[in-house]
Amino acid sequence: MMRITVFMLCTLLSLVSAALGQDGRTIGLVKTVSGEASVLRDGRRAAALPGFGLELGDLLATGAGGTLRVILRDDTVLSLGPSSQVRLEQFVFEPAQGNLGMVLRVTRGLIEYLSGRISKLSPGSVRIETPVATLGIRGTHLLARIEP
Amino acid sequence: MKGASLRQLTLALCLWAGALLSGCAAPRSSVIVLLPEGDHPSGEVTVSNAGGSQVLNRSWQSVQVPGPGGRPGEPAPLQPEAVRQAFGPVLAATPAPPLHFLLFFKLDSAEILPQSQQLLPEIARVIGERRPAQLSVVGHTDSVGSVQHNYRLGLLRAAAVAERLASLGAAPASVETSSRGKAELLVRTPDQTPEPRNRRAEVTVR
Repeated sequence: MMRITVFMLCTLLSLVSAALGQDGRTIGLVKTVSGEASVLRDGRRAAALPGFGLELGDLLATGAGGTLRVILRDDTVLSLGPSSQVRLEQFVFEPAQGNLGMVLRVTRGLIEYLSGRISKLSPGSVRIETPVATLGIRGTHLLARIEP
Repeated sequence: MKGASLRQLTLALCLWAGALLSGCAAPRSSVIVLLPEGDHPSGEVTVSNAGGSQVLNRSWQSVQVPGPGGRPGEPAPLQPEAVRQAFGPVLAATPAPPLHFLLFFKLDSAEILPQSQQLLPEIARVIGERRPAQLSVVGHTDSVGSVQHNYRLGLLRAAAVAERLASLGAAPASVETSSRGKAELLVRTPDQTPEPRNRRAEVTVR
């Protein structure tokens, strides 16, 4: 009886969590935006507004005067300057299972990257791919201007 | 030494001109700069392509890459001011670092201990301050009981924290509750050991 009650409570609470906005697919959040900034997902473009939930595969893009700052689930902070594009290509953050990895693909533009827990827990498992070079990251803070 | 400072000056000028005129006269180069990371020593970045590889491991060191397959240049130090000018738009606002809190619970219960309850208004306040905020709550237990029981107990604890914060008016843009059960003890104990410090929830506000 006790078990059933606990099970029902769990079910109820997970529904509450869902109502609170929990979504297993969300890997990050748009924090601040200025000017033109958008998120491309499955061929659709959405305005990047503060609070917008990010998913794996999303392409972040800013216009000529736009900037965008996002924070990922492992505390990584990523900022885009004007005319920049970054795809969230890989994001694995399961510290309990020891599964960690991240790949960001910067096509062009200005970015600031401040590493989060993936890089701290597993140095060497984070990469930034660009058209000109691959950046292997070991727990750090960097700026890049990428000219394809 | 003279060559190095000349190279540094050229790079600084290039960065500065790049910001103003979108590029130097020569084919535009990509630039990577390593920054200080708060009080921590800087990490390390390896910049590599088919042409070669360079390592940055000191703050304000930079490397230029002339284009796809072009050999990454020698690492060169930059003046912080030159970097600020060139990267101004992206450096506009330094983000507040994520905050972490620990809350403790009664034995085999999702009831938050009175002392930990006192932290809840503060957590609710920082959630409001960091809007849009991401809230993550991970429930943990001590090692008494089965894996399954403790997994559920951890979930109940995490959910209890999220609910209490919501009742205090906290409205994070996203909430994530999860449980590690007895898999990640804060204080290492043998199995089936009651330990108050392990009955906890870890709260992160981003």
